[in-house]
Amino acid sequence: MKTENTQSQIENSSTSLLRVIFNLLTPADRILIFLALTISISSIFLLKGFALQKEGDMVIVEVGGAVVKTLPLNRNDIIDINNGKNVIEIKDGRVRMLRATCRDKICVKQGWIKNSGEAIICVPNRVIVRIEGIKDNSLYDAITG
Amino acid sequence: MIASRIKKQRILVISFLLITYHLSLITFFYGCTSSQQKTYKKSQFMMGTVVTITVVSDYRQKAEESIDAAFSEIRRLEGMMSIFKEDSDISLINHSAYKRHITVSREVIELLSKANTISRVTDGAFDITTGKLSMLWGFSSDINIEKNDPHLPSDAEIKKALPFVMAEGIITNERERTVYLKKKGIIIDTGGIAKGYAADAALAVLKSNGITDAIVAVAGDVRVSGKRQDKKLWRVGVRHPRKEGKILATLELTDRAISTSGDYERFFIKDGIRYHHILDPRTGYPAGECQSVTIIADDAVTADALATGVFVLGPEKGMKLIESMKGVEGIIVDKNGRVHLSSSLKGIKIED
Repeated sequence: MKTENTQSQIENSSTSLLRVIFNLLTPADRILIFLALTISISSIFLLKGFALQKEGDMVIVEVGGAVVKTLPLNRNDIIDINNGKNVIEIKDGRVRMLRATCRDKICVKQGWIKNSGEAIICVPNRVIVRIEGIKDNSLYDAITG
Repeated sequence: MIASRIKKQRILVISFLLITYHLSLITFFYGCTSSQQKTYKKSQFMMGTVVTITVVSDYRQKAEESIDAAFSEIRRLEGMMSIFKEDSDISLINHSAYKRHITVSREVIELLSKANTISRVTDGAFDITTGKLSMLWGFSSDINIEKNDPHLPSDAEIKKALPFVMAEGIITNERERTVYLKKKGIIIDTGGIAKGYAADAALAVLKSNGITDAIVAVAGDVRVSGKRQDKKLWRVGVRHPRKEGKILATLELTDRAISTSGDYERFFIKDGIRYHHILDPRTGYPAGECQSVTIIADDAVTADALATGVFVLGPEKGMKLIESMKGVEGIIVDKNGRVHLSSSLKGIKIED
């Protein structure tokens, strides 16, 4: 009995405190607080939306150490990236080296990559094609062999 | 009086509510972005291949500066150890150390000493003086692959080159930092060891910059340290020697080095026979007992040189050597494609 009493007392006092605060506010105050809350909360979603849009998966192409192209991974395309020496194909959220002038064609044989953090490298032509995104979801952190 | 007190209280309450609310918002965003660790990854063409450095850090600037410092260190070492750069210490030795004692950098002395150690433990299966042989076969690790012309030399040519393959022909004086070659025509080829050395040195630079979680991969010579961003071990895939683009096994590692030598990287096929770049220093011909050898060791220079040495030794002697060395593990794929695992690796999943 005793504990129940104190609990209800606490509840009473906390609701009454809120009520006192609420009663202290004029209608203008209430509108002000409501507006502040709405703007702040909606801005969270707006900012997050922008961030995601900016950091969606991109295909980064480097030739000789310099970034020469940045392409969205979700737009199908066939692109000459190195004056005809290397051609990449982006299709259905994946990218591959379609053609290359190098001798061993290791880059072409590698096939498609689709996870951010993965890369296709053509050493003789000094080309790196990699996928960059908000999160590294490649299966391996490194490959030996 | 009472009215003004109520007004003051009201202003206080509103200010309190707004300030608390916005403070909580700021904390929320701070927690989301600034203090969280991120993974940074960069690649560059160096040492005739691609070097990729991955680090985990809480600040972009710190990560990028450390990575750039590590790249500079590798470039500096390449300048000393490359056999393709005319003014490197190694080229200087190859050109004139048979005439006089050449003074070289501390790093080159260290590299030669490490090469000597691995030569001894592999009973000569690893040998840094195979330069003349590699030139004869037209295998080189240069970036300009067009310049290479892999072809089958005649038996007589190989016999003529063999006397110049002699690890014991390199005389180093560690205190004076000098190198002398016993015979004119000995050519040092750093291809089987310098990449591992560079991976170790680059990791040391990262550590001195306060980075503890990192991977340095100089092509297939990989040195790992610490953990991933998600606090799990680093995952390193071992390439399948015969299935293009496929992985043979996955190893989860921390504070270790891993390196692979395979017959599939630089090779040519003539009359149905595969001739590749890992030459047996004792016969002068490509070593034929293995398809690939992966070595795990505490440092990358050991893993790099030992992978080549074990490849030449073959599965039986090679595995015996791996088991005899402390802190060394290995995966050997023999010429028939059979996979041999050292004792601590038994139980790992092998894809076929």
